Amino acid sequence: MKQILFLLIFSIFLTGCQRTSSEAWEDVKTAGRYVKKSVQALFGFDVDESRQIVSYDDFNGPDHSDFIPLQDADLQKSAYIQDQMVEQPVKLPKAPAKKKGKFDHFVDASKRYGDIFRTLHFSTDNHVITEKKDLISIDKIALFLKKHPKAHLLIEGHCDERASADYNIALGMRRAQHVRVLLTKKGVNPQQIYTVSYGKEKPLSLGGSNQDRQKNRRAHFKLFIEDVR
Amino acid sequence: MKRAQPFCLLLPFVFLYTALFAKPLYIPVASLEKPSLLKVAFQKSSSAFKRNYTDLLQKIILNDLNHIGDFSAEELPYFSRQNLNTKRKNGYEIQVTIAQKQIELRISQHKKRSLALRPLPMTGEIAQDRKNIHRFLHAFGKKILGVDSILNTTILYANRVKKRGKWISEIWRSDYDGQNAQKITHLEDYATHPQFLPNQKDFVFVSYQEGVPKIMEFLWDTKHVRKKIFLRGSQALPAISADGKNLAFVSDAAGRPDLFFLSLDNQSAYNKPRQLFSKPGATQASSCFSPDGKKLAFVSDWNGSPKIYLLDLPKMLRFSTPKITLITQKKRQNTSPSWSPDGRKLAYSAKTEGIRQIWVYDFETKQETQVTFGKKHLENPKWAKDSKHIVCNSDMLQGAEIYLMHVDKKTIQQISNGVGYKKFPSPELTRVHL
Repeated sequence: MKQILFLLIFSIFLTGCQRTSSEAWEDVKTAGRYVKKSVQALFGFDVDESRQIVSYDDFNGPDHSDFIPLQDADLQKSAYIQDQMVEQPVKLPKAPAKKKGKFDHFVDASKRYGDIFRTLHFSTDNHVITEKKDLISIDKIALFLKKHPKAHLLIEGHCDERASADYNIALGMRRAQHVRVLLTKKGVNPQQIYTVSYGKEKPLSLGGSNQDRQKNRRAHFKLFIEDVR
Repeated sequence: MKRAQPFCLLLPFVFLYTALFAKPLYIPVASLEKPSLLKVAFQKSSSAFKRNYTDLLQKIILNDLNHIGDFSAEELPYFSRQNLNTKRKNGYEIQVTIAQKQIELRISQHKKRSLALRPLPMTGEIAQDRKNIHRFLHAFGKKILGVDSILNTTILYANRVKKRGKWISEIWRSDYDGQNAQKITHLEDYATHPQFLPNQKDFVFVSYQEGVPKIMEFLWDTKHVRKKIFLRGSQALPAISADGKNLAFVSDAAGRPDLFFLSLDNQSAYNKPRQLFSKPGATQASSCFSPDGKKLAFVSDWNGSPKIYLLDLPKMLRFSTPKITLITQKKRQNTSPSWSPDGRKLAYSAKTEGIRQIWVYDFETKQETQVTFGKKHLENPKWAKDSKHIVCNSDMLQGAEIYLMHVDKKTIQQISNGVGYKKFPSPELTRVHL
């Protein structure tokens, strides 16, 4: 009787531990990965940090976003007031039928509203506005855009010729974006503001003096007001 | 026998020391093979062409021979067998005969039989003859001298002109020597930063046609231009991996000029660009892939002046900024990195005593070496497929031209001419199997 009982318990034990071959292989692989990471960590190699995926968005980014963003905490900090992340508008303004480019119907804002849309200038290799008169201009532009919600503004970022063309493209981007951030902080709808960088590709002044360079380091405005009939 | 025992006891220690501390032997590329000399003698016998045309052909041949690997071509003052009978062991003698409507080439080496190549017919039309000579001498370099030269490659670049008060920039294509230049795009807008795709015909470039810069693709066969990335905001400074599977670029979609990455291999509708590197207060600029596509060198000013950093492309999807390594330390304002196809060097532009010069970083020795010394600003270096030549452009207020330099021979020559500011040169890519 004892023998039968023993065999019964033993057979239950064996069938209880039974797994499919694929499950066993998966377990071996998982264990292998842990061992590999431990060995790498032991010898000072950089081990990819693992994080549990909590949602489908983690794989493809948020549904509303057309890119997968980094999620570092320091990128979201509000301490960087001049460098806040204000995403670009999803849609570009609709161009009239005859116009080729999306911004061809935008006109030089300084020609029509010269007292408001004054060209802003930057110091060398800097994207931050420091002049008081320029900050006053920002206030005026913000007021105008809030008063005209159908108005669309294009900010062009330009640089002087001293840095390389590649770096200047990025710096011009940063300058235009900085002005955009200042305007959105004043309550302007970010969907009204577009930015473009020309780096040093479209200089205003071809001279090599300090005054010429000062003229070229600029943020220039173009404006389009939708017909509100 | 007994005396030898102490030495035998030391052997395991010597082996252990060698295994642990000895560095691998590294021989710089330049010292592997000293530049060999090609002595070239020209003979023009009853040619069907006018003298100035044969002179031009002679000039093209000599220039081409000078750009085959490390070879230096030296023209002999006149054709004479005595002149050619050199005793140099590492030199070659080449007799070029321009006769009737063809070019004949005979090569001989010290103590070896001379070899005559099949004559190359000439058409009398310089553009076609120039191309034929490039192809002929490329094949000659590959088969006879054993060197895969750049003679058969072409260069893309952007040419900016002012038209009716508006700056216009179009993409042009020329032979490796800047000749046979031909306008490719006719967008009447602003186009920059062309770069060949691996099929060596199609290319990506940045177009301002939509008002903001977008990365576009030019299809050579249909001459059609289509958008490469669908992403809000601006996209600029594209870099394509050698296998054409990955694209890195700078975009302000998130609000800053950040480094982005897109897998072109993934055909899924859900394939989105990934933000790869971003730092508060920092500007990211141009980038380039390593030949194996596993690393990315890029420009960032997050620690002050723009410098070149290196990051390992994560094997899996990551949500945090990857760790980066600073690689250029000598000079400031380091931009436009370009990884050599052999994977050993990185060319970049750096401000040197107020002038932007081309520098080369050696991955083996971790040394940075200045390779240009003129008074003109030089930038946008791009390695040619032989990992010996660099194409770059000058950038002065008066104008911008394309230059071709040989890094080891330290020679540089202006290859472009004509109207416009020529910038952002990019020679044909080559697939590199490391």
